Amino acid sequence: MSPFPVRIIASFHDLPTVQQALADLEHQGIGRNQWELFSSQPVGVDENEKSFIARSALIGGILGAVGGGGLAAGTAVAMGLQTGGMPTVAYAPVGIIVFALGGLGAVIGTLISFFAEAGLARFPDPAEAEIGRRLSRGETVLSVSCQPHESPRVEKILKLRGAEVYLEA
Amino acid sequence: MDQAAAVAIHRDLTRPVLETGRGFYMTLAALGTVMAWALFCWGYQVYHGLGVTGFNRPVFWGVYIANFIFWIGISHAGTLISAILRVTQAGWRRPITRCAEAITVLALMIGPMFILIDLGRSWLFYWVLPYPSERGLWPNFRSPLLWDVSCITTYLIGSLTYLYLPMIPDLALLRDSTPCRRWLYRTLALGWKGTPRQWHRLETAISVMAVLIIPIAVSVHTVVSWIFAMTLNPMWHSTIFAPYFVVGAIFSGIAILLLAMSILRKSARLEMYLRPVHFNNVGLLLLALSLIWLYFTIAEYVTTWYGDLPEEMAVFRYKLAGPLAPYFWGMVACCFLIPAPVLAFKKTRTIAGTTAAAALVVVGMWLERYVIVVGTLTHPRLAFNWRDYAPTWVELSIMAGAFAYFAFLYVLFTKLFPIISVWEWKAGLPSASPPRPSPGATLSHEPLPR
Repeated sequence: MSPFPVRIIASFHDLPTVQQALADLEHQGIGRNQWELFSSQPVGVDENEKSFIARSALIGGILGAVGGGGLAAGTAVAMGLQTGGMPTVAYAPVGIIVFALGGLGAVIGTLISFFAEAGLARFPDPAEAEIGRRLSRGETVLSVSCQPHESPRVEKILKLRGAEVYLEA
Repeated sequence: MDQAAAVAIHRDLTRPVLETGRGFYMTLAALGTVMAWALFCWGYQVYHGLGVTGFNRPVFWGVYIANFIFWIGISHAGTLISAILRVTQAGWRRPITRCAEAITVLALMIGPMFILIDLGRSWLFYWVLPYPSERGLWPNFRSPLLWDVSCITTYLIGSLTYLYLPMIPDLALLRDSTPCRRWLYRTLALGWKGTPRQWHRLETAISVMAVLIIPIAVSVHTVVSWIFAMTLNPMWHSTIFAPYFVVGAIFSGIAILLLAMSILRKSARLEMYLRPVHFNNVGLLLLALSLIWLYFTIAEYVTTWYGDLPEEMAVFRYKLAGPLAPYFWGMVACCFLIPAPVLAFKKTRTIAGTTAAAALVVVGMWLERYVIVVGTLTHPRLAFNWRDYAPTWVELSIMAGAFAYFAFLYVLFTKLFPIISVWEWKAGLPSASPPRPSPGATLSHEPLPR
């Protein structure tokens, strides 16, 4: 349960204004853990933040390749083909299957890690329907969680920056 | 970007999804009629057997396999072109990427269908899947047909992912702004909220997918070409078949993309978004591919002609001066002689000019696939086995049905989803640059400075 019982949601017409409002909130002691930003367009984040998507793709690719190699080689052995003295496991076809299933593994790895890191495929918060409606109108939405005694101050800061504010308990 | 512009873009790009005119239903009805006829023909073929087709020894791959290669080639429209443009950060790609990616996925659904139809006993298709059975039979991965199954499966899943990921923010937009089909958009948006973290992860995932999908796409048509090149048949057993097929695939893919852009521009009233500059740029790509295609074609045929091997020359003459000559020269005219001059001059590289050139290239590339498949099959190495082939009404009807099915699915797609990415378009506007703050700005996941 959130330690901040009051949630203030404000919508802005552009992102630079949001940045200014965030700077104002910062001066008033409202920390990063108290606000969340929602935008209908890409917003920049700290480039140093770690993402495991590329590594998941690599791991998925390796697993897929190993699985593909096992499948192609295993079926050749299980089939017991008469190869006339040639190797039972032919390297070129196994290589192609390794490539194809390696690619498949990498795609699946990317997809799974994206869902996990972006927090998707979870039950949506019904309170965010209003946020969604505002985003669809091209607005940028800022949600600030705070203590009840802080809410008038937060609301005032946001309104000074031209935000449309509404409160949610 | 101001709010009014955002609202206008949103309205324009979601209009085709929200407003349904009489033309939409009439188009679906017309396409549905052709599909129904094709379905009847397929049923007729299943009931009577492959004898109702033009197949006979030694030709068991005719129009169906030509169509398979054609549609797999068309599938290179989207993912490959879109991925290359994304990796090279070509800003003008924004209105055409989704349009192209949808072509890829739908074409990949059509192409393999022809394998099932060509099987005759389509219901036994699962024999190619590796599963333990009491017969103790396993699919033989030495066969290029199995390589195809693997590569196309990977490409289909990769292309679906590559189409879906950039659609998530737009699905959330539709979920939040439209009353219709909300269950669909809510399900597919997966709870997207548009937080900086989600945007960052989305951009990372799209970048990873763009890099992944390029070698996968190239491998698909390479392996399709190896179905032919790995046999020892005349004019198939060629080392340049793989790049020749890949070039042809991208060529036909770009052509069908241009056609789709042209139709969408009018039917969905997207003139403000699909502008002459996009047709000009894609037209230049088509011209470049036309020249590369010509180079490969000359390399392939001149080498055969100079080698003068009897069995190769039999196929060569059958194509250039025999019953396939109208198809071969039609291919040359449609893929190079007519479109190249049209696309070469700025005066004719208009929307109408590029569309006409693209239509010709699509026809030409279909002819190319037909000439490649039928030319060699009718003239195997042993001359006693030579035989002509002509498709019957059943094959042609099923082929027409496949084209109608593709168009049907594409029309449905444009009705359900914005065919131009709303968020990518907004992000590409010059005034939209502020959303990426300078380093050290407040939009960071690090604690804010006190």
